[in-house]
Amino acid sequence: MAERRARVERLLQAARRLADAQTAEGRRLRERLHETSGLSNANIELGLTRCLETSPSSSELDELLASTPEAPRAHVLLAGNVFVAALRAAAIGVASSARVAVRASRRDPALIEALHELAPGSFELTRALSPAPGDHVWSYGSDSTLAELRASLPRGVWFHAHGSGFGAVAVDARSWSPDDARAIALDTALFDRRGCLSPRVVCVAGSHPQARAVAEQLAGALGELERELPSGPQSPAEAAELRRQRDAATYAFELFEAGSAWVSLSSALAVGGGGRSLHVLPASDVAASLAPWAAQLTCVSSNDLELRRQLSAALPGARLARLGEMQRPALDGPVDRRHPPHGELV
Amino acid sequence: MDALLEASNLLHQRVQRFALGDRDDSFVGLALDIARFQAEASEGFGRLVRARGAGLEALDDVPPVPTDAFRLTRVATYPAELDAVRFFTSGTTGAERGTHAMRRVDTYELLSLVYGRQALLAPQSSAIVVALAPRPTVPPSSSLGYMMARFMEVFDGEPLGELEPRFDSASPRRWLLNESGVDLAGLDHVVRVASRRRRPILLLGTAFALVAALDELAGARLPLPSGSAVMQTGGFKGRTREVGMEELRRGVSQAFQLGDRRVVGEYGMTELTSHLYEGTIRESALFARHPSAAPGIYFEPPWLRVTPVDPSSLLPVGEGEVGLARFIDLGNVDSAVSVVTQDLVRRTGGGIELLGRQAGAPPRGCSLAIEALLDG
Repeated sequence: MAERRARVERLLQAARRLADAQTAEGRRLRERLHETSGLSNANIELGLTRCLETSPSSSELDELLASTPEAPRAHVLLAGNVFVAALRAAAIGVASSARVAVRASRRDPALIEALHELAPGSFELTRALSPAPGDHVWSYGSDSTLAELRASLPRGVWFHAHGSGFGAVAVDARSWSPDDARAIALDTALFDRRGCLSPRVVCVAGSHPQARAVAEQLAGALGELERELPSGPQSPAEAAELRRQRDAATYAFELFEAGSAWVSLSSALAVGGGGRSLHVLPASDVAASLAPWAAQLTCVSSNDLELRRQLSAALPGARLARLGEMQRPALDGPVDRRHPPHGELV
Repeated sequence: MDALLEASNLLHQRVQRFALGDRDDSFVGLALDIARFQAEASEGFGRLVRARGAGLEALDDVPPVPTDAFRLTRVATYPAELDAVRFFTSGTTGAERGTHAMRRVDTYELLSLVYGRQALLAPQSSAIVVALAPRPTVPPSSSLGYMMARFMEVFDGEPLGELEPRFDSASPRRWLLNESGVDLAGLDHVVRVASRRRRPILLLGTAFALVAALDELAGARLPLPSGSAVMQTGGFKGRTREVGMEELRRGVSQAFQLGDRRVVGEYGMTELTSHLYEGTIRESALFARHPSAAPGIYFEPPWLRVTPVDPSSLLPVGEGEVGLARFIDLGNVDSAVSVVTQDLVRRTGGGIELLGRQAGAPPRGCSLAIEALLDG
């Protein structure tokens, strides 16, 4: 156990140096992320200083180690992911084994390469994973990538598939405060809402007019935050997608402009489109409204203790968080609880 | 509501007259009148018009409704209790299916029949019409199945022989795809009846069903009588085996012993009322209008206009350039007169070349792709 803990702590030590903008490594990483992450500098900075989990408590580390199965060899396939996710994936890998192979995302290998440089020997970077029976494989990415990988694995490998998902917010209109809008906007704007923890839908326990008031305030908060935390550059394909989704949402829902994004409102079960957009949904029973998405929900935040209790029972796979804290989950295991910790035996 | 229904009915009449050749109306005039009606009668379309901030003075002012909207909400200018039919998109990858509701089907039927005849048959002629498609449900849910049944009634209308003593477009003898696969014995029976009567066959098939028929035939041939034709339509979404359209055309023409040009592609989608066809059947009115029509080029009827548009601005691209297909379909009186899809097209040779589906923005991160939630 001590050895495993030491391996994780060594990685965290490297991560702390990288999160610090005063170190040469921290500065180099920021420059690199500017090229690879597709995020604005402000979003990169906030990601590194607010969301990179560099200082877990002792009990969180205990939980991480307890929930990670030990393996002769661990293999990690990273996605073109929210860049800070590479640290958790690597930490789970080294918690599992002293022999870890990581295949970085081609699109954004910046953080994992920087960690490798600062903590040499913690894991090996490889272009192809070659697991053997008894090994554990953690894979992150699109559902189709995971299905392909699973099909290629030899029998006897333990597979941990962390596929796509999204976050939701559940608020009680009676306990809503204007600060809540800012907190939800922050959870949305971080990583330009690309993460599987990022919220896409805000379920309001209350009436339609109350939900409209929430939608209006959210739109205002998103627009305001965009000035401090600009979106990353858009490719023509992304711009076209956004145009299509915005037009469809304009037709289908009541719409509130939110800077370059939008907030839609209707009683229909729907999720926000691209960019930093959100969908607001009034509901009499929030847990029942979100239940159809139980398999996809990774994280749910709420402004109300009673709601959180209901959601915890209805959505056991989702991590529960406070508003504004969705993007900084404790380093106590995988980000969500949708998958069995021991993995699936191929 | 009565005034809106009356306005809608008048527009239906004008569209039907236009389709029958009356040119008191122009395409542009009718399209703009329908768009103005929809801006008043449909809250969603009204929002889209206001968001664009332009009047409805020219075709390019009319904001196209993305096909996604049909999955997110009801796209109609009237309340649901007046629906005569509801057609559903055939997607298999997501829970939500798009719906195109119609308050009256006479315009849909007229437009389908007028242009279907022009593309598939010689004027005034008939054929034995059967489909490699599942028998339509009651009430109908597939616009394609509904159209095929109308083709059977109007282009054929005669009993199939001892197995179908009275004509019945719902007869299982005419729908040759079921849970067990393609009914090749049934098709063989139809071929024998047609040969005896010296009548051509019009075989209507989805691409998926035609591939299944070729697989079932396993290289054997089932020659159709002289003058027969095959209408192939649809794609392979969610299916196990994909075959290129030209490869399929070759396979079908060999299996049924038809010339390549007698295998005619049809392009339609649930969100539209009108259809496009290749113009390769020599005796057809469509070929007469486009004598140099090549396979792979699809032609619109006069009441449908397809324009390749830039994916971001949704404005027309330059001559010969590739863009997303924007349809202005006068048949969509009660839904969305202008619709934009993710299909890529190019104008060429007086028609439209279909170039497949626009790839979505490259997915970034593990946030669930919107497509996974929207795809129908």
